[in-house]
Amino acid sequence: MSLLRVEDLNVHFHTPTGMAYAVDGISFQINKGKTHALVGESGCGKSVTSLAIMGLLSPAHTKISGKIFLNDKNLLSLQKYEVRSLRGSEVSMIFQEPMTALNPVMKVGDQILEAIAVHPQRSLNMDSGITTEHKKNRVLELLRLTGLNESVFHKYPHELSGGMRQRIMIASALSCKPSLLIADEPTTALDVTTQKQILGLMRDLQLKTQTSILMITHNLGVVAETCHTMSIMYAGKIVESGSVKDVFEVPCHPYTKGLFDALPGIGNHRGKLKAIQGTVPPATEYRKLNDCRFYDRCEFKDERCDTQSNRPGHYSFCGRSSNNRNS
Amino acid sequence: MIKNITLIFFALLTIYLFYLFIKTDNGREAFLKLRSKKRVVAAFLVICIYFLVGFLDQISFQIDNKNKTIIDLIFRGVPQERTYSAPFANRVTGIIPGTENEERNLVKGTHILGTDINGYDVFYSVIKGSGTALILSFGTGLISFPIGILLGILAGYFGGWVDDLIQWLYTTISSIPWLLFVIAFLMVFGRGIFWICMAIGLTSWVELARLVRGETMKLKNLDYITAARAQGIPVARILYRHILPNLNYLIIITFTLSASSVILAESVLTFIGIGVEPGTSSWGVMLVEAQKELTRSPIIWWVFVGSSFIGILPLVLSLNIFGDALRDALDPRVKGKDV
Repeated sequence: MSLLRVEDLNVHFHTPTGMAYAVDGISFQINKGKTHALVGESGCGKSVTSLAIMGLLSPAHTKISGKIFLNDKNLLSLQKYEVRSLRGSEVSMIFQEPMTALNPVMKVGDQILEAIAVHPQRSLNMDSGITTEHKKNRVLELLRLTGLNESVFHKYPHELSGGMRQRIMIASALSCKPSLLIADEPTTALDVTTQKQILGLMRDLQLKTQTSILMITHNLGVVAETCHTMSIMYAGKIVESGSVKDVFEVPCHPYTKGLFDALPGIGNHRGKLKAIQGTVPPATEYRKLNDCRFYDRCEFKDERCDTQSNRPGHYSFCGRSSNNRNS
Repeated sequence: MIKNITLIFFALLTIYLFYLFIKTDNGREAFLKLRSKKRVVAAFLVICIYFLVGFLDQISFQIDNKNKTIIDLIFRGVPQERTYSAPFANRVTGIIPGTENEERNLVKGTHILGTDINGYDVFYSVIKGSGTALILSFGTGLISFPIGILLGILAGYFGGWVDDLIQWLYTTISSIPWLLFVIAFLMVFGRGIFWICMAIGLTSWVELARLVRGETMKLKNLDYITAARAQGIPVARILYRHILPNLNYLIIITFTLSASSVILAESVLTFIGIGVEPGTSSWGVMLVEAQKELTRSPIIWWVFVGSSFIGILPLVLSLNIFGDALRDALDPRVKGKDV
């Protein structure tokens, strides 16, 4: 059964230059205990999707429609305070920049305590009689769980390395045992050895706690390493989705192919790396594009570009995908 | 008998806040850091001396049907002269020609800072004025800072109509000429140091509110505030626990700077006759008088030097040094660096 089911989610912003269609009708789902990757270039709407799920977008300038089911509860139809009580407990989030995602004037131990203090019962598995001592022990337990020394409790963020800070982020995100963890490019700001440790840590913790993870990244290596299913996003739409195995074996959409071609391969030193021509258009222009939004940048485009194909379990927006698989 | 309950209240409140502050981990660390710097300890001692003097001036006794404070008793031996006399001089200044040798020109005692036009000892007046200055600067801060911080944070964090409303409020207040507002206020509520604190406090929060609003607007879009919201922390707690500590430096700097301007503001009010009650010493009053006397010949410089260099300067300088150090001590980012 799916834990998170996003159906036809639209997130549009009012901007001075017109409506920005940052997320334009996307659907995907994540099963319990599984990891789903949301892949795409910068500016394709990945982070906006995650913020929409968290309910962190300011309602003043945003129009959100569609459905986001978490455990069959539609998050978009809930009251504000109900959403807030779900944040941290049912859903929590890890941010891209561990440098800026921790409060610089607060000890990291206190920051994890803050997260626990919001949902103490859930975090400690206790109904009453919770004392400060309990909470503090829980913080130390989390620090151990994420492979940190207990002395880190009394340190300030600037005294820690990037990897340690990201561990703190993970510790505080997991402090209340969320059923869904959104990781917004958790390893982008880290070096490769630290990336490996952090990804390993997340996978271990996932096995222990059966947490589902929505992994937002543009690193296909990370996807191959940690994820079960994936969606490729382009210009506010999901252009291809399926299990990681399927998509990696047979990338169908030209955009996906482009992403794979842009990867440097081991042992293949000859020639330049391929790049996808052009850039992602600004979000205000999305609706002015063709029905296939990748059309302008696609190297396979021709007059047949107007249909989409669906094979069981592997969806691609490009109708020509089955034909040009070998081209 | 205690003359002025306000200063006692402020002193006790300050000590209590200090105690609460020291009790926390961060506070103890900051305290130890402050203690390790001689300059800061010296500044703190100077502030303490001012407080002590101000405090002693509030405790009075009934002697010869007159209220005498402890300071009055200490200065009992300092007599009043006929008119000006320079520091350590043995004759008064401005002697009429032909009367140089008359006995009435001799001063009755030694005045280390001379005497003013009425023959009062300047040093004694400076001492008496410190209590007024402390009540003014801390009392005003106690009124204006909570208002400024609260409204600034609310405006900056929530934006929208809350921001509009608060902006409207402070632009309205700052568009009324400050002096006119204070005059009107004092005319309605009467004179006295408490109402001066109130009047200045109710107008001077605007600057701080503006600063706090801007800083909060910057902070609320930072990742760690988003992260705090993502953890489901309620808004009030985010404001109090996550944003307020980041505003510390702004608040402390503004406070140390405003302390001196309040002392000067009081002199303006005294100048137009709505300041402290007649008979209350204040540095503002002394400055206004000293200004006139600087144009005399021979120049009467000691009233000016006494009020500004002996009275205002050490206090404001110490407040600045201490405030600066306190800001650094509270900011973990500058830990370890000697600033």
